[in-house]
Amino acid sequence: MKTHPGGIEGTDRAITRCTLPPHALVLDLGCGTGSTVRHLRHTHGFHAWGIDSDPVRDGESGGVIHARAEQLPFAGACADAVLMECSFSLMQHPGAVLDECRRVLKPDGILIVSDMIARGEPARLNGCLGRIERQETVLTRLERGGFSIEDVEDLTEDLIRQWGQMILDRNAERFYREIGADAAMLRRIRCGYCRITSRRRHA
Amino acid sequence: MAFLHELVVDCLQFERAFCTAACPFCLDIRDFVGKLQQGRFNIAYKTYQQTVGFPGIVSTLCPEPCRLVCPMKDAGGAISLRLLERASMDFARTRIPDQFNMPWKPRRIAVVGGGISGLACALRLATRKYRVTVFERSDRIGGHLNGLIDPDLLREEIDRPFTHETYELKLNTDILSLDSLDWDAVYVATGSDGPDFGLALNPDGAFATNCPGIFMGGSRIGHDTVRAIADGLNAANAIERYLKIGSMNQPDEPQGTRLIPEAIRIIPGEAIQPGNGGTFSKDEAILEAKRCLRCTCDKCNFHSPLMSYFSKFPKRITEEVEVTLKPSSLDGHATLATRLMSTCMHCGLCKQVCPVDIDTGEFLLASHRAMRETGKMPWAFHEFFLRDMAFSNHDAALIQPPPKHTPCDRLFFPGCQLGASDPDLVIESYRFLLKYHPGTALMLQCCGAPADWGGDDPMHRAAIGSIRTAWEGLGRPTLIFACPMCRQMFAKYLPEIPDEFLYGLFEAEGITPGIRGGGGTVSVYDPCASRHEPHVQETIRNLARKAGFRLEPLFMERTMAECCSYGGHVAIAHPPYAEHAIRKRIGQNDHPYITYCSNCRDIFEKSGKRTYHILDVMFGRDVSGRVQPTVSERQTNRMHLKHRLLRDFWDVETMNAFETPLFLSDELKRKLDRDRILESDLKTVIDDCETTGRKLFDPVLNTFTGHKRIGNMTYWVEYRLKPGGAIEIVNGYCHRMRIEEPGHE
Amino acid sequence: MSDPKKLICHRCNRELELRKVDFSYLGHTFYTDLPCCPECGLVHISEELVRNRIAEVEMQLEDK
Repeated sequence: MKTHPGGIEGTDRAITRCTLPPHALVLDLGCGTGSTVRHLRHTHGFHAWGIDSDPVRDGESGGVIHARAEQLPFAGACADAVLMECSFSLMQHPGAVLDECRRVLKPDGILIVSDMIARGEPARLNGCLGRIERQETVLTRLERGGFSIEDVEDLTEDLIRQWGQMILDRNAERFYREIGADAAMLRRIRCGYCRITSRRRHA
Repeated sequence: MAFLHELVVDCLQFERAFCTAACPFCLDIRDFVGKLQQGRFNIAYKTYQQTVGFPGIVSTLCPEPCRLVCPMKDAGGAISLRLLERASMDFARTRIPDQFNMPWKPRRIAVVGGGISGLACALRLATRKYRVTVFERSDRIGGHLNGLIDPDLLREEIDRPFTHETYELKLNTDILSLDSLDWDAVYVATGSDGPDFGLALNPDGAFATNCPGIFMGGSRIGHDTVRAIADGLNAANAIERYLKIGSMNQPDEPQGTRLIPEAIRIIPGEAIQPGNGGTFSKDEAILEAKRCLRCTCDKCNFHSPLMSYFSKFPKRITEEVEVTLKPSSLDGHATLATRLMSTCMHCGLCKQVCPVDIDTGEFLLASHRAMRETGKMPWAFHEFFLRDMAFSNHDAALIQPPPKHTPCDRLFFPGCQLGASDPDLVIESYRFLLKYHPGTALMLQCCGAPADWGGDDPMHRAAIGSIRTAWEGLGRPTLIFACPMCRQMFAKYLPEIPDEFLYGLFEAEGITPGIRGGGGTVSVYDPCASRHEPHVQETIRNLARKAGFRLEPLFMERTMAECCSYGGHVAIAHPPYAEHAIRKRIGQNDHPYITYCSNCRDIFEKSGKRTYHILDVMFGRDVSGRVQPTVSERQTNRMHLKHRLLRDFWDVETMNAFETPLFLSDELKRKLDRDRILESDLKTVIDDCETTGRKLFDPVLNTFTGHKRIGNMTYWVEYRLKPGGAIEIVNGYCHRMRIEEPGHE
Repeated sequence: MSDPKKLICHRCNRELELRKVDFSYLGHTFYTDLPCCPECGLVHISEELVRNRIAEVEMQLEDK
């Protein structure tokens, strides 16, 4: 999918709601080409950095650091917010990643996770989606990881619309191949999409 | 809407099996045997070991109370659970328990008495990493078992479960008073002749005594050996609860079951005997395990076409419907169950077979209605039949008092689909009625079923209201039905109207059926709506016999009648499901069916099953060359019927406006029928194209193409204009998506 | 998007050209390029498109 459900406007909305200080340090884990990072820099004036273990070089990859989310090249308690858009489900060690997020975030720092979720049977796909978990599973992971949930935004409607558009654009087959699942399997999973905004809990 | 949610509480799906309810350990035998059925001895053994603590001892001494309640006891022999337990021990890869790396818990528990009950308590607590000390006044553990089992073997069987666990053992220690013990909790299991320290059992809590923190169980409270072991394990649970919440007043979990024998489908099978006379081989154990019915109530799932096809039980269905109707933040805008709601045939079989009368069908109907009110139900699932109903109630509707000004005492209500299927059957029926009951009025109208199934409450209420008004206008005559579905709808929504079936009148008048069966074998296929109509079921059989047919009963008949797939109009929402149901229905035997619902007849005939309507039999109609009418013909049939009835019985000539100069190939007619596209709708599109000029021209094929939205559906037609004003339709198709065309529509 | 047919708008007598067309179903909107009359915008949807992609989108939305 070219853009995440909700699009960059959705990211803006979520970020704005958090009322971050000017020049806040914002990290985008699994940032891909880093387009969100550049957007955050230009539009919001944040000190935004993208982190990707396999960064996509598209000629304009400013602000992207090659690192693993389990081991961020940042000092403790320095970041105001961490984003993971469609990337948390791909992390091999979700617990370790959350520990690391806790470490780099300031005491009241924000963690925003946007991901595909299963409204039916959860699944683990080999393609570009990784784990598709029930929403309650993701929430539990965050809570156990030391974050309190502040807001859950359901973007399923947007996902469905993108999906329908993809079929019309004759891109559905390629999408199935990329994610390693067929239409029948997707029907069993009943994919949804949500954005979870959480805050780092004290100690 | 809450009614099923409450009712589903009664559902027996998750009730314990009889054997489990009888087992002192409450062993989940469905689970245990299920693993054995797959030959997974190791994992089965683990389940057994974790439940009973000391498998070697329990499997030797258990009196098998499960055998007394096993439904197989009269069907080849109760399942030999002890031998199966034995087999799980014999064929497990290892009998050493798994080791779990858990931290110690800082609570100390004293167990007074090193008999098997005390040891069972110590085992479970030690496994959960509590610090346990066992006090035994003699010089060995095992208590009275030392007299029952070889001491070496006993020692081995006691020690093995403790392989990875430790507890402190104080032999030769006589506890004279519990006051001297400073512990977080105490379990007293001193055996039948041991001291009770003046304790009394507290009836409010499991194994609780009147003394805080002190529990008591085993033979000390009069239980046999196996119960004593179970006591020890359960007392450990009670102690853990006490340590966590500080209250002893927690009763043990109730152990019974609400499962009833009627819920179980027994499949008889002779008990497997061990070839070596003592214990099972692997294969023998698997065979014996496979005899086990793993008792659970799956009556609805077995019989309901919906539940069996989708492998869903009422509980799951209510959950899915609930999140669909009340989207919570967790499931967002999920409309998980819309298709499911539109896939119920409303045949009532789920309630019929349910031992606790759960009416899942009625629940789905109510949910469907609620869903439609929110506007979130895909309109496409029901629009065709709602439009068809509107057609029946407007263009094709007819209400006529009895001919020749005879006072009205009866009202014939043939139902819309009988005339759609075969106008002659309605005309012949009315002719017969007038012959014997000249005061019979006539009403061509839909009974409201499509709106009921489609959840369209306003439309349904309007239909019911107009029927009531007409009936009152005619002086409240007795209704005469041909269709059991109409009768069912009236019984539900117009219960004040007295009624009878047309078929009973044939019998009452002693009419000889026109077709001679000549001893041929047929089966009567009872429509699902006749489920609670034993009279009409019997009448049809009598008439069929009178016609000279030999009747072969169907497995699913009378109260177990199944829907032909017409009910609920499910074929649009889920075509493969409808197909699946039809194949099952017609595959019951190779004989022709006789039925008394035109929908059953038409659906089965279309799928290649010879099916007579009982009216075909009565009026002696040759149906051998009958071709099923298409959806379009079903509408023109209704118009022709109205026209002919008015002409034949009331001498009224109407303009037959349905002579359209349309030409279509038979192949296209079949395709349009399959896609439920009415030729009259295509004609509407063409009229629109010709009036507005909004059409496209294909110079190669010399065809025009146009489209128009009718209702919510968009129809496309490709056509040619023939000399003389005739129109040849070349192709037609439709879609549900709406084209956003600015400045149009 | 290739349509083998050469269609002509009857009213405007113009050959159809690909234009962006919006669709809606069950509260969602989509778009795709379809042959339209460049003058009056009259659109053509082939049966092939209906049977394949449009039907699939419809089903997806009904099952969402």
